[in-house]
Amino acid sequence: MAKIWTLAVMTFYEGMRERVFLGVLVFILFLLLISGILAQLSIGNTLKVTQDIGLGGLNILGLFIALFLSTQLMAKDLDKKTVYLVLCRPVSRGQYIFGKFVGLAFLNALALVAGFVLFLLALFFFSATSDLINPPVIAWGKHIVAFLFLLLQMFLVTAIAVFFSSFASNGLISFFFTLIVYFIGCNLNNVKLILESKIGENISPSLKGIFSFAYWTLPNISLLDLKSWAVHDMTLSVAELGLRFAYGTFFIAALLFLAASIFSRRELS
Amino acid sequence: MTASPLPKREFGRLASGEFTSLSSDYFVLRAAIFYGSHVNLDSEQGKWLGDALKLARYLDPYYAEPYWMAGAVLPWLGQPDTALDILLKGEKYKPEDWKIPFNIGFIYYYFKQDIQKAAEYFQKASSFSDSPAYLPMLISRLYSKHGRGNMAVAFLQRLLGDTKDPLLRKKLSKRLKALKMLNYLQTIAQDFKKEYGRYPETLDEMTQRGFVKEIPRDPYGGEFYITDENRVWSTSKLR
Repeated sequence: MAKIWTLAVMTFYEGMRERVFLGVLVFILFLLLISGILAQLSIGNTLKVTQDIGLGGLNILGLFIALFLSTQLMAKDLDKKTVYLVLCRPVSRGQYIFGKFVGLAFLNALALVAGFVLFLLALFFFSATSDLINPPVIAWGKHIVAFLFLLLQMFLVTAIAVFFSSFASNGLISFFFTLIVYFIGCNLNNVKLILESKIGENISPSLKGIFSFAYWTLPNISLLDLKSWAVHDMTLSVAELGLRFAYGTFFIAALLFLAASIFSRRELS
Repeated sequence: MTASPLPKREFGRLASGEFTSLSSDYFVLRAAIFYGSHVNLDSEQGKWLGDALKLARYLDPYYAEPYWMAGAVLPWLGQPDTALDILLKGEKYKPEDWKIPFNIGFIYYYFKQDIQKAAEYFQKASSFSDSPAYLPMLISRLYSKHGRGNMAVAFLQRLLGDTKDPLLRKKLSKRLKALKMLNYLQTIAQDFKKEYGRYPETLDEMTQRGFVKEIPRDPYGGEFYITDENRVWSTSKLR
């Protein structure tokens, strides 16, 4: 555990030093602060738009770190051969994978928590100063739950990135594979709805079969997306939330174990 | 001239990924800017506006603004059916919003001249606790003004049974009294027609020929009269 933690801390500081990361972080934090001002461009329920911009901005920040930074930091170790400096120590390849994941997840979590605190402050300010005649009730508790699921979602995307990085030959390939799996994962439920509609009657059975395979094997990332649930103050039972949380956690664990297994067998030149 | 083409809704949803809510905000904003920047919209532009709101609703069916804009704007642009299509779907996703059945009722009343359906939806809207207090009165007037006096009376009697507020009970009782008088006089006018093959010119003719002893007084202070369409109504309009 201590070795994993040391690796995690190293990865964390490595990520903090990336200028792109700092630039994107500052931009997103600024976006969150002015979300209420941007929402004034819209009509009607501007608080809803404020929440959408805020939560959407956090999502994008998390995705940037999980998709871009994760694949780049993993690839950098292999390109610059710094991975050998780690592996020549008594650190197993599995510990390396887990250490990397924990560091990246911690980096993501820190950035998102900072962003979320700013978002809550901005939302509180804009809701208190709103000139709406019938301002909507903001479900603060649900926003916190939605944020926790956003964290889990970003950890899942990070795990996908680590998985592909464990065998991809360069960072760009793992980035694109991660992006594709993320995009498919976001749309599994949407495609299912389309296939069940009138349009689905014209889709060939073989394509439906391929989709069915993807639906049951790839992570359904949209299950962890609770932004709309929080904004519209909808209902979901504790059992349902628990199931979704367990689903996300299971996939993270499975991907990391797979990544550790693959990386252990990888020929490093 | 229309705005730039809109994506097909399925493509819009897939392209938005997990940002469908933000995409919906964007299309509502586009629709609002398009509507606000044109003084008069032609039918093609009205259709584009309807499509934009349909897309916004599809991307985020819990967002109130597409329904609000559809009800407030589209029927006046010659798109009442598009507005109805959007609003009827809204009943499923926003069952707590009284404005949706209210807008549906108004479209049926004003644009479709379907009084039955209009009253049905106004009735639905009036069942919400935060709906305007004038709705029950509007419904009863709708029924009675369009020859459905018995339905108006039955509706008000049911409402009176469910209402505890003394001020509202007083108002409903007054309305019920006036409607019963209207129904009664209408029945007498129909008896007159059966006898003489025509409706009376004035209500006084009914008293002169012995069909009724005297014309009752309108609780709202007006005078009952017979309209050109041979319906009994009041100068007070029950207000």
